[in-house]
Amino acid sequence: MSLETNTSKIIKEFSFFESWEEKYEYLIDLGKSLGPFPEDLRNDFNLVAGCQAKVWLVCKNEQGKLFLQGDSDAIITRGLVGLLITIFNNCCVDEVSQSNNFFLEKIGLNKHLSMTRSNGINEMIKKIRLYCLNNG
Amino acid sequence: MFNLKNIRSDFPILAKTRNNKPFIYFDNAATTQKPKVVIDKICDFYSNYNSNIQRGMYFLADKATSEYEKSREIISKFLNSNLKEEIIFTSGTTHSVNMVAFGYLKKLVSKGDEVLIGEMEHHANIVPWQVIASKLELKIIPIKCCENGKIKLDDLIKKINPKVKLLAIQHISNITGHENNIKKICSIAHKKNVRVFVDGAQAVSHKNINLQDLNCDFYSFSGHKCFGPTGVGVLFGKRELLLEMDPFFFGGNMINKVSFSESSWGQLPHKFEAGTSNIAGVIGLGASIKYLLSLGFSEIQKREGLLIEKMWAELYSNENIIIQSSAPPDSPILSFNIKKLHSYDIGSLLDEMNICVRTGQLCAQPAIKAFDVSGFIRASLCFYNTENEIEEFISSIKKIIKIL
Repeated sequence: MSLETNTSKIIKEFSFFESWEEKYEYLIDLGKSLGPFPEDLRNDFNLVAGCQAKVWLVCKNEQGKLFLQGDSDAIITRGLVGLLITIFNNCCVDEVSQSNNFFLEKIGLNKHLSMTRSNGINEMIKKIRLYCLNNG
Repeated sequence: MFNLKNIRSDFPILAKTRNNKPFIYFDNAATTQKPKVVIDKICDFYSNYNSNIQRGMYFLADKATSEYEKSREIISKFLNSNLKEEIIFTSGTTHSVNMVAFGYLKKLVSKGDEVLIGEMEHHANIVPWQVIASKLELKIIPIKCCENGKIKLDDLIKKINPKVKLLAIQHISNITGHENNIKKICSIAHKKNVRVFVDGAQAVSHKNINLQDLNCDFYSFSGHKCFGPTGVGVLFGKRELLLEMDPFFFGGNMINKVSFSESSWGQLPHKFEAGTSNIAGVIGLGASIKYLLSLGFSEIQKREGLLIEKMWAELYSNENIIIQSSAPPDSPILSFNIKKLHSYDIGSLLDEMNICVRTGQLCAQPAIKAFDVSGFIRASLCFYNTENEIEEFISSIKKIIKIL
């Protein structure tokens, strides 16, 4: 899996949506499709700072590939976690550490999801990249 | 008579659209919108008489100083303070709390003394006291609140002892919209020689404040929450206490004499207005208070009473809505939750529907903990909101419940 393939897949998915309702519906479904999050990982260490909702994100480097697990106590934020997992999972750690946020603009979500600190998606991406930088 | 159409047209932003649709502004407890008279007054200062105040010996400075001091007079009359020197311009409520915490508290206390704080205060009325308390080795004691956010008077009475020197309390809760009985609280506190600091940030835009009647020792508010500009606010203090209080900032306009061996400060109120003040802000604040007074608080309260009654009735009767308080609020601020849903999700989708509300912990984490929730959705209204907006808000909430 390359980051580019994953990103273009998501961008394509989002390009079909005409209304904000459809985008959110897709996002909510992404959240629902997340596997169960292990209770012992639901701790302060794995919390992403700066989100209004609680977000837990765990990054793992398995033979140079990134594996993510995550959850949130809010439905839309869980969808955002799902979105990031779809994009970053199974990608090369080195590739993720050098990536940028262009997909947020491309999928048109940044027009809908205000990029304020309460949203937290930037914080989540920052955490993932920082992990990849330190563990690449 | 209250003409809603005219009043809405006083606020240029209310005519703006997003995605070609008007928006609903229900975040007035965070900041209110600004009427054109305030915007114009600020433009007028910068366009026609911008200059520094108090010191310049020329016509521009005279005009600026006189307009600045006129604002002090307007606010002194508005709050019914004894003297206009008791009105200190600050950058807002947070600044005002810090000034009293760091400039005055040390005059009152000795090691081991206590400061009482309502358990549902805004962070700005907790943290400054906490920081100075740890320096002066004082204890911070929270006063219990009812489910409507008002402090429990019996808990206050129970906790007042000879060690208690000051009580910090909000006038109106930024979460529940309920009002503390400041007059009664002051009378209880004063009998035991306890000073009272009141955070009036949520009160000033909704009701007439009569400091002679309330009899609190300090009162503070922010300009931007009562239709004025951001970055300006007020600290009222009784004259004898302000004389005793030390400045928190030094330099500029507050100075009397300076030498390298020692310096001295000017008289009240200048002693507390260091540096160059937010002149445009103060002048704009004067205009906003004048605007409020031109509408009249009896009309404002009547209008806001109708709005909050409608909002309360709609939300309270909805089985999916959880409201902690069992009585309608005293001012148009209402916080609630929706069963099984996170306030963040509601806020995000309301934003899609062009409705601006505040969600989350509302700058009051101890209160959120006391309520045992993860956060709130807060709709805070004011007189320029409409019944139609409330109806659209309620139907949007119902739609969101379906989506989620």
